[in-house]
Amino acid sequence: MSITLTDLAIRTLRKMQVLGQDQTPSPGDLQLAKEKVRAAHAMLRVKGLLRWTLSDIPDFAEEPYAMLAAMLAASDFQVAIRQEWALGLSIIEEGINMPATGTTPTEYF
Amino acid sequence: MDISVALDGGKERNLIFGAGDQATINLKVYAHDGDSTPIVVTELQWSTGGQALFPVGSQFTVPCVGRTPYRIVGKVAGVLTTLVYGVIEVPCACDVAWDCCCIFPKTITTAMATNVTVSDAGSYFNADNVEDVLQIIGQRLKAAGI
Repeated sequence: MSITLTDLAIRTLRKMQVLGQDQTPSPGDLQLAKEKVRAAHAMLRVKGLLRWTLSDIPDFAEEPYAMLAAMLAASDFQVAIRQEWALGLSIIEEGINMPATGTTPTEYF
Repeated sequence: MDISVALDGGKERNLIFGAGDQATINLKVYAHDGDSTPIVVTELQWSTGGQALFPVGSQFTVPCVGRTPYRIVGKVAGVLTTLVYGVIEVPCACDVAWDCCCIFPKTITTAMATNVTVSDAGSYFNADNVEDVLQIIGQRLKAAGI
């Protein structure tokens, strides 16, 4: 079962530290974070790095999605961008070039 | 193996199989990336002629094909559309002494099949692998429609 858009949005909010571990996001914050996750997904499509749909994001890409979405959402939440978030893109680039990276980019049977 | 693609999303999927394994390819096509319900696709077929070797929707034994590009097309609302493409790789194919991928080219013509002799591949056969080799040759011929 792949991670959901809502789960990724919550993970993004926690990464930006605008949401505590046990807190529930407001509908507005959640909606904005979802938009940023979708934007990160679209960015990967533009860069030719998509090997999956929004419904089956592989596990290795989950954290990079949150990192990229956090970068895109930082200004909206008035949070400073952390340098390590930019690593999200390179992690995905490396992931899709692995010989066997799981379900969507590459599968091993 | 479930392959999900969206008509408005990335369509490249590189697949790795183990030779001889039992596998099933299930292709789900969505109109829009993130949709929860797949759309109906008719006349699903491999533009690269791999349908017989890697049938979609039914279990098959992974053949020894090495590394080969593929493309699957189908009709969406009556319009022929590329649904997914990439490279299929069977990594262990060339690790064995009787490498059938190297003996027999991926595209086999009738003339080539007719002219194949034991001497062509004699050095690769032995009592332990001859059945496997013949099975793979059969798959190749079937895929070529011979």
